[in-house]
This record gives sequence, C-alpha cells and structure tokens, in this order.
Amino acid sequence: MLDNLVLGFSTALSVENLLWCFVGVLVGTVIGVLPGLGSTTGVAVLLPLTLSLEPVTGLIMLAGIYYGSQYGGTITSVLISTPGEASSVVTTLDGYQMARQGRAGAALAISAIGSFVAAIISLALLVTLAPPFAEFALDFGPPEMLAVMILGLATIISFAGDNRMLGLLMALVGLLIATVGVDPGSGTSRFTFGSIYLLGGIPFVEVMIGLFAVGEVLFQIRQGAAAPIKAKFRELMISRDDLKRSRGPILRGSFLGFLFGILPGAGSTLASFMAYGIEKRVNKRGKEFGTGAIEGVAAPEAANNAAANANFVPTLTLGIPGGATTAVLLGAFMINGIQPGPLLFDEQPTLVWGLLASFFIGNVMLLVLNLPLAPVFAQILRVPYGYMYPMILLTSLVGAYSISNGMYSVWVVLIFGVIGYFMKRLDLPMAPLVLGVVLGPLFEKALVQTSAIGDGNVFIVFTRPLALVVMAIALLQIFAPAIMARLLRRRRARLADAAAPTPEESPRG
Amino acid sequence: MTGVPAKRGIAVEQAVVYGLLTALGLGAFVMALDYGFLLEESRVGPGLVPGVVGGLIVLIAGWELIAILRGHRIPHDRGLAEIVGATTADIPQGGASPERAAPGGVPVGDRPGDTAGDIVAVSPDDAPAAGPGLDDVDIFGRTPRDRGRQLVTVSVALVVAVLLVPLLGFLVSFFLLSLFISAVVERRAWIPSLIVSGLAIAAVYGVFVGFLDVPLPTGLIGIGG
Repeated sequence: MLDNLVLGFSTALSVENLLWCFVGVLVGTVIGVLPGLGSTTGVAVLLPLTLSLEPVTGLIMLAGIYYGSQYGGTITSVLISTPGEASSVVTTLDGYQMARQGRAGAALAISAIGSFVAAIISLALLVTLAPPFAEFALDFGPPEMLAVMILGLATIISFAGDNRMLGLLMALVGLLIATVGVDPGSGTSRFTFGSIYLLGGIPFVEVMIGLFAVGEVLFQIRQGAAAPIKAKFRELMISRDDLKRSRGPILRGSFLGFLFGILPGAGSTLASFMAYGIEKRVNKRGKEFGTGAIEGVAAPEAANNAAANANFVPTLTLGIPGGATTAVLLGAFMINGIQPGPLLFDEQPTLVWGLLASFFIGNVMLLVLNLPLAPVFAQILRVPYGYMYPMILLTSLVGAYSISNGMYSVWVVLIFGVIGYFMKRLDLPMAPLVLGVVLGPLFEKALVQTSAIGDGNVFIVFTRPLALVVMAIALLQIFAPAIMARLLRRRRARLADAAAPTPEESPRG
Repeated sequence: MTGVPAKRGIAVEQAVVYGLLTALGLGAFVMALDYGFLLEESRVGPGLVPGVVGGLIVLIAGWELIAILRGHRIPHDRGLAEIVGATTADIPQGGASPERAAPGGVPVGDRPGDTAGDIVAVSPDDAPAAGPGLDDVDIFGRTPRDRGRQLVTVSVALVVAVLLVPLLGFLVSFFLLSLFISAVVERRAWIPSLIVSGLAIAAVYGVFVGFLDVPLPTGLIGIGG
C-alpha cells in the first residue's frame, strides 16, 4: 500500500498536475460561492476543457472542482445564509447565526479546518478500504457485472431521494436514451430514423451539459433574482476554546460522513443533515444549536467533506457514482476511455493513486486558500447574475462544440437544456436520468454477454454467489431506507412523551 | 409560496410531460417489437432492453398521467431522506434531497424583507424554490410574467445565435448573444455589457482556440478561426 501512495504522490506532485489541481480547487471554490452554480454544473461545464489534458490531470482538476465547491458553498452559507451547495444548507443554521454575532470569521475558519480534517481522515479510510474492495471485485465476470449494474440502477432509485417512482421513471428515460444508436450485441441500428448523427448514439457529456448547465440557467431566469448581497466580515480570529469545542464534532462528523458517503446514492447532503442531527443529540451543548453554536458548523461541514471523498469509493471500485456530481465525473472517466470498476485499481494504478493523492494536496491548498481568503471569495457574489449567465451559456456551448468539433453537439446541448428546464420546473430528478444514460450501454453489454454465457438464460446470475451478494445489496438499497426510517420513527414515538405530538411524516427534504 | 395559478400551470405542464413520456415509451415499445426481443436460442436481442424500458415508461408515466388528470397528488416516498427525516425530525430542514438544491443558487430562508431570519426556518415547502417564489416579484420588480417572457426571449436568442454561427462564425454570434442578454434582456448599461461580453469572448478565444486548438467555425466573415 505504501508503494501505491508513493506512486500516487509522485504522480500528483508533478508540476502540471499541481497546477491543474490548484486551478480545480480555485475554480471549485468560486463555483461553490456563486449562487446558481453547483459542483455538478461546474464539472459538466468544464469537462470539455480537460479533454486535451492527460486523463489523470483532467480528472484531478475535475475532482478539485468537486471538493473545492464544498468549501465555497460554506462561505455563502455563513455570510448570507444562502447555501452555494445543497450540502451546505444545514450550515446556514448555526453558521449564519454566528455571522450575525460578528463571528463569521470563526465560523468560516472552523468549517475550513473541519473540512480539512475530515478530508484527511476520509482519505486515509479511502486509501485503506478501496483496494480490498477492488480486490474482492476482481473475480467479476459478465454475470457479476450485470448484478453490479442492477445495483447501480437500484442506487438510482434511492438516489432520487424524494420520490422513488419518479427516480425510476427518469432512470428508464436515461436507459432509453442510451439505446439510441448501434446495438452492442447484434449491430442493429435502433431509433436512428436514418440520421447518421444518431447512429453514434446520443453523447452523454452533451446531455449532462444541457441538463445541468443550460437547463439550470433557464430555470434561474424563470426563478428570478434573489436577495441582494450584503456581506459583512469582522474578525477572522478563532479562539482556542472554539477549537477545543469543535474537536469532537469534527471527528464524529468525519466518520459519519464517510459512512454515508460510501453508500452509493447517499451523497454529502444527507450526510451533513445526519451529522447535524446526531451532533445535536449527543453534544452537551445540543440545546444551543441553531443559535450560533460552533459545533453546529463543525459537524456538518466535516461530514459533507468526508462524504464527498467517500463518494469516490463506489465510483472508483464499482463504477457506480454516489451522487450527481460523481455521476458526471464517471462520464469524464468514460470519455477518456477509462472504465471505473473492479479492474481500475489493477489496470490504472497511476491514475487511481495519483487522483487520491491529489485529494490530499488539493485539501491542503483549500485550507491555505480559505483561511485568509474567504472574505475575498465572498466578493464574487457582487457579480450580477445578468452578466454571469450569458457567460455560463457561452462556456457550455463552446465546450460542447469542442467535444466533437461539430454543431451537432451544440444542438444536443440546447435540446437537453430545454428538457432540463422542464425537469427542474416539475421537480423531476436529473441524476437518475444521467446515470441511466451512462450505465445504459454497460448494462446492456453485461446483459448480452450474460445471456451468451448462459446460452440464452440470463438467470444464471442467480447461480453465482458473488452476483447474488451484489443483488442482495441492491435489494437492501431499495428497501432498507424505508424499513430503517420506520423503525427509527417507532423508537422516537416510544421515547417521546405521550403528550408530545410525533411527526407523522418525516419532513420533506 | 406558490399561488394557485402557478400550481394549476404546473399541473397542466405535468400532464403534458407525462403524456409525452407515455407516448415516448409506447413508441419505443412498438419500434422495439420490430427489432426483435430475442434472438435464436432465446438470447437477448436488440429490442429487449428498449422494449422493456419503453413498456415500463408507459406504465409509470401513464399512471402518473392518470393520477394528475384525476386531480390526485401522488404520495411521495423517500429513500435515504426518510432516515434523515426520522433522525433529525426536530431540526428545521430543507433541501435534503441533493437534486432539489444541488444547483446551489437557491437561497433558503432570508428572503428579501424577511427580517425573521433569526431562526432560519426552512420549511419543507420552501426548500425547492425559496428566493422569490414563482409567483412573487423579484428584486428588480419583475413579475413572473416578465420572467417568463425573459425566458422565452433568451431561449429564442440562443437558437438564433446557434443558427447564425454558419454565417457570422461562433465567436461573433455568441458575442452578440451575450451582449443582447446583458444589455437588452437584463437591462444592464451598454458600456459594461460590451466590456463583459468582449472579455468573455476573448477568454473563450484564448482558452479554446489558443490553448486547446479547437477549430471554431469562422462563418462567412472568417473571424476567430
């Protein structure tokens, strides 16, 4: 394992990789700060830029955008109670209160420190856990891959979070989009309507840019401009007492975030909410939460960063992303001709370990950047959206053009931009659709191969023990949340005083 | 937050979207029958995945369509959000679903004139679209109707810009698009709009043409190759 780390650091510390890692985390922070731009949009828009780079360099930069935006999102949560990222929503509760009491600096500092500690802890866990995970997956043949794809599709459904039925529907639409073009098994052309463009299939990077960038901009236009920005910033100093109080919450948040992030589909947002809720319960200052307690900033911030890192475990080892942004990153791997999955650690050690080592370096950079510069980043908020969205549109469309050097890509982006607008407007989840598009061809390939191995019988999946284990996890993925929630609610109901009203339904997220 | 007219509008849009999806699934299913579900020895054929997927789309979208037409709200169940809800029931929450708030831009709580930001009450219904609601006037005094018109203008302008690429070239037509959006649609002053659009185009030129060697279409005028 030590050789792997050495290999990783020697890759990540090359001048070029350091430079792009820095660009990634810097741009990520800015994207996190900007309202209307999330990490998913950022990665989708900037993906085409990385195509000319070495795959490892490109991925280092894109990953930098992802975790950098976690830091950026915090800045606005604290200063103006406007989370730049969904995973920072819960930080607004205490972070903004601290800012109102003139302690914005301390809140930002503790979240930078908490995020950093969490990143390092989760990275250590990632480095220890990912290889055995991948080892276990080395014996996978087509039936096992088919089971993994089914797990991926099951993930999609719980991924949708809010409504599994709509998540499933969108995943199916994604799968259908993925079937356009030449069939992998027989070479039949499907749904091409005689178009040579459609023969090559609908390209997924363009789909992502359309949904997450253009669709997002259109939705923001319809949504209207938000509250004006009035960022104040008094003292940066964080006291020794603050640090002492935050130690426990940061550690608990890190481990909880990692556990949550490692589940495919859970993501950093849920991790941050869980960490806040649990910290509120176990911390002796739990009652002060919501009034500007530093623990209420430290725990969720540590959790969301740990989860963002842990998300890479299922993404790298199984090829199943843990969230919307990692789904786009998965697309970035695939467009570089790299198939994340069990074989990745074996076939591309430089890439995997270089990428993991770059997380460490990137987090150091972020800490150095964020401790003194958070108020500077906050000034970006003064850029009016009226200037910004034409630029997002411009970058998206030029980027799309540069993928294939053709206008077809631009049209695909526009069409999916409109689709994305309506999906947002009607609250249809986008991540399942993207995952369907990305996993579709792999799923079908595994299905065709399995059916060939089994002489027409795909049910040989159930005769392979490893495949069965994966299928069991898939089932668990679908049903466990509902069961656990019921148990927890029942326990709460028992614990709660008979007089106290129990929430009949969990608050809608 | 969202008033009745917007809700009705949404319901109509929902009905249209689910109707289209049902039709899409049906079309896919019928075409897939043609491709053949199974090959000899009952191996998976080219039509199997599209056929099954299309069929399922018909079932789900059709179900949602019927429910909307009958005026039912389909009960939402949640995945992991349920666990979070159960553990953290006592904290105000919102945006727990990554999908909803992921774009990030959505300010939660603390709306204009909302002085009661003390307890950032993120009620579940506020989460998806806080900031000015669909029916509210935003900070520039624009009504939902204005914003709807803006949306249409920008969308049409986008299509026009892309259509103009073969004539004017990529950079010129997108410079015009950016200028049009900033100055006309967003009513920013002309000089800053010119400067911002010019800088943006210069940056795109530098990165994509200078650094990445992307052969952007130059159009008949021949600028920016």
